[in-house]
Amino acid sequence: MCRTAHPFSANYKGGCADITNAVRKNMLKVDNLTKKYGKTLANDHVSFEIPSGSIAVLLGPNGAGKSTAMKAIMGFLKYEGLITVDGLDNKSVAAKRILGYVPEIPALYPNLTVIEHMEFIARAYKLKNYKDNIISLLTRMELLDKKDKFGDELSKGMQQKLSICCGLLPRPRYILFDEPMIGLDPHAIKELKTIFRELRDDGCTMLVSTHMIDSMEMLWDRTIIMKDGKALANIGRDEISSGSLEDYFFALTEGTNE
Amino acid sequence: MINLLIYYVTHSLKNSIKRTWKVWLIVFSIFLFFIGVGIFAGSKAKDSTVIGENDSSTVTMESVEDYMEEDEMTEADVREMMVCIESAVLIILFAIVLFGINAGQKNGADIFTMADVNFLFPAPMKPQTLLLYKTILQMGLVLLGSCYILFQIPNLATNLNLSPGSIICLVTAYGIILVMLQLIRICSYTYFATHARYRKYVSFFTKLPLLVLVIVIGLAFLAFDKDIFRTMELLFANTVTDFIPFIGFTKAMIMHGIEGNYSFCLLFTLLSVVTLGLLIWFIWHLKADFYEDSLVGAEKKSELLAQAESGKIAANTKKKKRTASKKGNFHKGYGASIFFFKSLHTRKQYAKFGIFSKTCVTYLLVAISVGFFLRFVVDTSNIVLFGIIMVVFVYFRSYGNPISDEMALPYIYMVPENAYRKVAFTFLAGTVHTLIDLLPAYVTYCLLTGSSLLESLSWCLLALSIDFSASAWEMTLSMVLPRKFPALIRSILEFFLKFMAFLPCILFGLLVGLFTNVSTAILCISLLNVLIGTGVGAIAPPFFHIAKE
Repeated sequence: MCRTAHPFSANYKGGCADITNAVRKNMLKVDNLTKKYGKTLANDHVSFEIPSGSIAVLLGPNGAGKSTAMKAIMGFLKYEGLITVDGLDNKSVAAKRILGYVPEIPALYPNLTVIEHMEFIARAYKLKNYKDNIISLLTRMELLDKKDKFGDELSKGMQQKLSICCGLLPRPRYILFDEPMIGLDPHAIKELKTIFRELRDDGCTMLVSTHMIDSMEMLWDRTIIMKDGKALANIGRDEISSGSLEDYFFALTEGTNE
Repeated sequence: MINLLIYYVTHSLKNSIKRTWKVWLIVFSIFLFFIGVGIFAGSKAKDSTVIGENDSSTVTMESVEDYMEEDEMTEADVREMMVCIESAVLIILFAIVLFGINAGQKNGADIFTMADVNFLFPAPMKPQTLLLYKTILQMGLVLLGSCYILFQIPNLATNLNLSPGSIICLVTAYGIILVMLQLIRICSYTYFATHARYRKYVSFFTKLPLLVLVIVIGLAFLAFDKDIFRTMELLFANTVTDFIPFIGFTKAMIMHGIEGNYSFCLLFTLLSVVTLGLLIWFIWHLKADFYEDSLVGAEKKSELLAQAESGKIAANTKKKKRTASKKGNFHKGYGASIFFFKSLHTRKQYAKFGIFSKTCVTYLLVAISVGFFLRFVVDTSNIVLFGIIMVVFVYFRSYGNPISDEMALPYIYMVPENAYRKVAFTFLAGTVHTLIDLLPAYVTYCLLTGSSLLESLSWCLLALSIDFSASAWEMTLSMVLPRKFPALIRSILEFFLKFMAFLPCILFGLLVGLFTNVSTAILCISLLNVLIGTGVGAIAPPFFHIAKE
């Protein structure tokens, strides 16, 4: 059993599973999320819960509503329904302290270097004792030798890696990854998967949106399958008795569920 | 937030300087410096000649009374002048407030970039904090860009005979106006982004007061037997208007500053600052939920810029609102000319009856309002004022590469045609659009005022030729200058070269006009513009397919 400081204290370094004393509703909860863009229903009464210390995958074809759900959770959109993070309203400042986000399309400031981006994030999140963490993250993502390159001088893959580093720097308890592996080289993909495992072991909760099933095959604890704005299934790994996730996914989205 | 702001500003500035500090920039700066020295030396030589002729008049003016004595103006003349200044200041401040409120209908792409969305939207801060952070950044850039105003101080002192105290008041007023404009924009944007259902009324409710103001001025003018000074005095230049929140306070601050009443100036300055404080308090307590609006705008802008990036040329990031064409596909054009006909075909999608685009409607409104004013208020059918207004409009609207939309897509490069033909047809489509936008306005003006149709069309031709020439400059410079050329330097070069190109045209026109008439002069200027535009435009095609780094 590991002990750690309260999640909201300055000494908090990323929780482990034994935080039930501090927080009763330690989960990410989406309740009847409905989002319309004009007449298009992007999310139709989507509900799911993700317990802390797990990796959940949001799986679905293009246009299923995955990115919309991710953005709604991050508080970027106006929506109907309720989204809470550890019992906190997702749009509150307190919730944002424990929520991290790695966007699908990386976008950087052209006049800041790699290391300056990390410093910028540290200041935005009012972090303390972050310097070692910056070096560690940049080293793992093979960006340390490029730390003085400007944002617009990086390739798409490097921009994505920097986005991941910036998302991980504040050590959030909940991290949302929107198609994180697009544009990454094999080393970075391998490293990212290792990071996923380490974060899960530290008690961090991850929600990964992807349409590349095999990239998350060995990592997921829970999968929410979406299609046409609806959540068709919310299953744990142990609930798939036979076959792979891929088989289950295609059976659900293109045939009958066996 | 302050920590974040300081970090971003200092590092961005340092890196921008590091990136743009190259040999050509030093050369360009030296070139500008010597131009400035030349102009300064020339004006000094002129001043010393004037001083030599009029030694007894070089005394420092301390007050309006000294000014009167200097220029032998009567009290009535001075009073009229002050009424004009006071009225103009109040109207301008009123327009500034409406402009700021109108910002409420803008989308967040004008404020937030995609990088802000990715890094700052998830950050643990209130939306108002984020908005204040971005607008302070933008305000800082505006203030930095306004530092040229410091160089106007000697001008204010020497030519307008203002005292140091008055100058300080004016500079302070300028700063307060800038800050207030930004705060009004924030307030308006925050409210209308959060309550998006009211956004569609913003444009109407900002244009309506202007219309009401014009009507009230017109009625008062007619009621006072067309005495413009009495009208302005009643409506604007009186002590009652001094107490309109912000615009009245600032107007009073400026006027008392000019007149040397520093204690009243200070009082109204304090009132303006209090208004600023109240606005900040209001913004801080406003419900703010603009993230979605900003996200959508930033994503679209990012997509367009990415397209442009792949096309190596900066794209126009404003997309026209389109409606589905009911007329089906077009069947005209062959080879390079297909871009010409396609452009005209797509006009049907955003212009009513294929004619009345937003630009066309704007020009029509200008024609109607100026025509109405001149015909029914001033009682003249002279077209010169309208012609000059339209020329200025057209000149300042010709910004950015006119064929950037086509160049952002791969098709124009794929068509196996001569680059000159492709550029020429695409460019000419823009010229035809301008002609279609302008013609209704000139014809309407002509019908409204009874002025000569031929004269009206000659002014139309002048505006068209100016658009042609200015657009040719923009197109050529966009293609010739490297892609990574800093935008600020690019803008300065474009402005400078376009302006310098027009000077010989204007001088030539004046010369012709001296010996013939206005219409002939206008036609000659138009012809010269077209020739210069064609020559400049012909430089562009060889650079069309070259990737710029």
